Amino acid sequence: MSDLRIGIDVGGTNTDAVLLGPDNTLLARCKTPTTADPLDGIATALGAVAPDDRRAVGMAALGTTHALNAILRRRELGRVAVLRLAAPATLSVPLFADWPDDLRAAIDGGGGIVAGGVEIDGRTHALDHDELRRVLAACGSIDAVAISGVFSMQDPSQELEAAEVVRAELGDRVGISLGHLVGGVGLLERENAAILNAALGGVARRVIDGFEQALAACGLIATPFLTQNDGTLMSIDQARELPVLTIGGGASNSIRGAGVLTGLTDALVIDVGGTSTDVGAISGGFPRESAFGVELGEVQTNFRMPDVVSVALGGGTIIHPDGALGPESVGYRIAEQARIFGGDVLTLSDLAVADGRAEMGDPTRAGTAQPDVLAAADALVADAVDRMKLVAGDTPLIAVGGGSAVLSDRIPGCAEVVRPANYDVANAIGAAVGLVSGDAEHVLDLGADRAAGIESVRVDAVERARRAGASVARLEVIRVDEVPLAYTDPPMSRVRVKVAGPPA
Amino acid sequence: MQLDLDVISLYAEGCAILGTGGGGDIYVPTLIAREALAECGAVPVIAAADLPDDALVLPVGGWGAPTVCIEKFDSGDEGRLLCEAAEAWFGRKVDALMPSEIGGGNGVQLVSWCARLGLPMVDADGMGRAFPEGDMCSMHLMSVPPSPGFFADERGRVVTVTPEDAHGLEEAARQFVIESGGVCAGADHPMAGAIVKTSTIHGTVSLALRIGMALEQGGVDGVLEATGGVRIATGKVVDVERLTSGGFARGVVRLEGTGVDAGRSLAIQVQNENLIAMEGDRVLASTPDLITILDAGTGRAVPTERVRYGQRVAIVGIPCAPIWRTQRGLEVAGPERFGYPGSWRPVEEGAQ
Repeated sequence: MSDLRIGIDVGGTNTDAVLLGPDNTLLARCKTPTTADPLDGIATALGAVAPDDRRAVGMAALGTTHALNAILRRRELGRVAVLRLAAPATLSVPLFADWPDDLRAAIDGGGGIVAGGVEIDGRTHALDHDELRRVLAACGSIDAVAISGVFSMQDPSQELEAAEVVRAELGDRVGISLGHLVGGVGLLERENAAILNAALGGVARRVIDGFEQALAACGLIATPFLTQNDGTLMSIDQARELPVLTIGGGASNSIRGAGVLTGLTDALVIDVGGTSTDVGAISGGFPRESAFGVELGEVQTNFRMPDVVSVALGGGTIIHPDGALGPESVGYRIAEQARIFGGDVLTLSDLAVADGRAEMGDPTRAGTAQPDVLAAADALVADAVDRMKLVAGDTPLIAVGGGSAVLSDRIPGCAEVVRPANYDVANAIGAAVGLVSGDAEHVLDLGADRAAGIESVRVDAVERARRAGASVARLEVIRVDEVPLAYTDPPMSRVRVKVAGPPA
Repeated sequence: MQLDLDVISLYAEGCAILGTGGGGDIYVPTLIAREALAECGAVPVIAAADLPDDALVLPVGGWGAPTVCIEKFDSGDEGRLLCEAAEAWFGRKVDALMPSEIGGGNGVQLVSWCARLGLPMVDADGMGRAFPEGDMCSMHLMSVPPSPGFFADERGRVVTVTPEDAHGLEEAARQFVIESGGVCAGADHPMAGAIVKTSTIHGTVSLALRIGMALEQGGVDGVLEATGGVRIATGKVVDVERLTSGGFARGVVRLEGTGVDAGRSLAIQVQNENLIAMEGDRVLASTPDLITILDAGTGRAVPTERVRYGQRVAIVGIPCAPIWRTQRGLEVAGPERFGYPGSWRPVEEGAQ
């Protein structure tokens, strides 16, 4: 039987890994510092949790910050040619409008706004293949092409047609990133998401190849997956195509893991690390998503991200002589620098021990309690928690993450603070228990046959889940959203369907 | 005064606040304006009082679905097409453009047209805010005929229509919008300078810019100061109920007060724009006064489609232009017009 699962989460401070048995029993766990090349830490973590019988591991899921760091640091990014299928519509806004200069300089490989596009009523405006070839020929040396068309999330056929032309012209060496696969309604944001996705092709290849090699070197034949923004998994084939969707995986992993550790499907989740704290929410078993587009590397995009509020506060946050809280942190060096661990830096963890709310290290070194400072930290946490609450009344709060011992047991607006066992590897557990999902969004007229309209979107979502590696027979509909659109004639709605199920 | 690259974003934020939740998103129109201003230079803004009486002024704006506008937006040529159609009709040059509606993206869209055509923008509009129907404008109240009207789309199609009244204009626009795939640009109620002086709401372009600047300097309080508005309440959105009827995005936004407003609970009735703010049975503010939902932190307007659970917001009431407070103004744009019973009371009194 190969029913064991490995989950790995690469964080800013630590790389965590777990081995889960059937029924999600925790069989092994490991916490190791994140290395300069994160693949080294991944290999270490894999080796630490892999069982003697390597064949018993059926799948291994990795959540990593590689893609996010590449964008934030403008490193390892590919050069991208951009095709917008729209002209003459949208000619008033050029490609890369509103991008920061340095990021644009790293990515912009030319391109153009070419004839094409789909109307909301389904009419299409033909592509001119010669025009596409001319635009591609004018681009210099590029690594990938990003293609986005007007209303492509509703009818992707034109993006696929353009991709054929690109393939025929440039061959397989060039990656192709399609807008309808990465973003929702909003052409510019979807185009930007497709461009960033295209630029991440090289990073994705390196991470995935490295992950596969690490698995092989460890003697594991497990099916590899990457975790993505919505807390679900995708096959490595799909991750090569859609690396931008792995960017919010870390926060989602913690939220999913918190749910699994507690059995709660609707709750707030607070993940306290060494440097920062994320507050998110689990809703129906999945991380709640941000309602709007996100800014990524100062670029407006609109792919799905978990809804998270972050505060610069963690177990390693430095307490200044005047009582000010950080925002600096000793980070992963907390194990040697915090007073309770033998160092000489006063951290939030020291205050929590001095106060008696946490037990760790050497309490005799914690110094005097500073209730005012701790109260100020509690107020920051309470505010972040309140921001994430959707309903009045007391909600359970699940506390996870290595720094969560510093939290008070009484947080305003929370019925209780639930502290599950293995709270400090919730993120890796979240990766290991991930489901595979598919998510589709169309704009359509539901007037004639509402059920048939929603079914057409569901079919698209199922196909996306299949490509991501799901077992189609075991997929379930997780959510159906229907938003009527103002001033459309006939009245149209935006319909979004999400399905999820276990890996095939 | 002029609109240039330095102030265009602030101006757009001001338009969003005057949009009371509607009027279309400002993000894409602002990008379009920036491109045109960078290429063609600043747009002079001219006071209505300074217009020659015989100047030909064209009120312009967008028609159609805001959702389509974020997918399929301007080619950049729409303004020229509208002006050429008007010039062919009148046999003379258009002297200035004016926003039909200052609120939301509609107040911003024409900036690029003015820049590219070298035309000034009149410091006035027909609403002083955003409204959903074509007859809800000062020109209609002052019996300025809507005809001739001109429509143009991004593929270069142009029509000239001669509707008898505002409803005829709506119907003509509806037809053209369907053929154009959901959105188009339009010009109607063309006026001589003398008519602009008597039949439009003056100073709204400069007001939008002042609001944007005040917002940057002073957040929500800055907005209140620039508009003479009142803070109706500060709170947290706890429920957003949406439904569509008659082509309008209707809904109710509920919020619970925080801070000094803790314990209060408010409901805002929405039909594309925020129309009525209530606390229990008590009406605190209602159309035609402006009700704007601002982000409590940044002071920026939150458009109707973007109101979401958990947001911290300040509900602000801004007195509408005096013309809306006349009997005729209230008939056209008061609460009853939108199907809400009860009489209108000025926001300065209701919100106290």
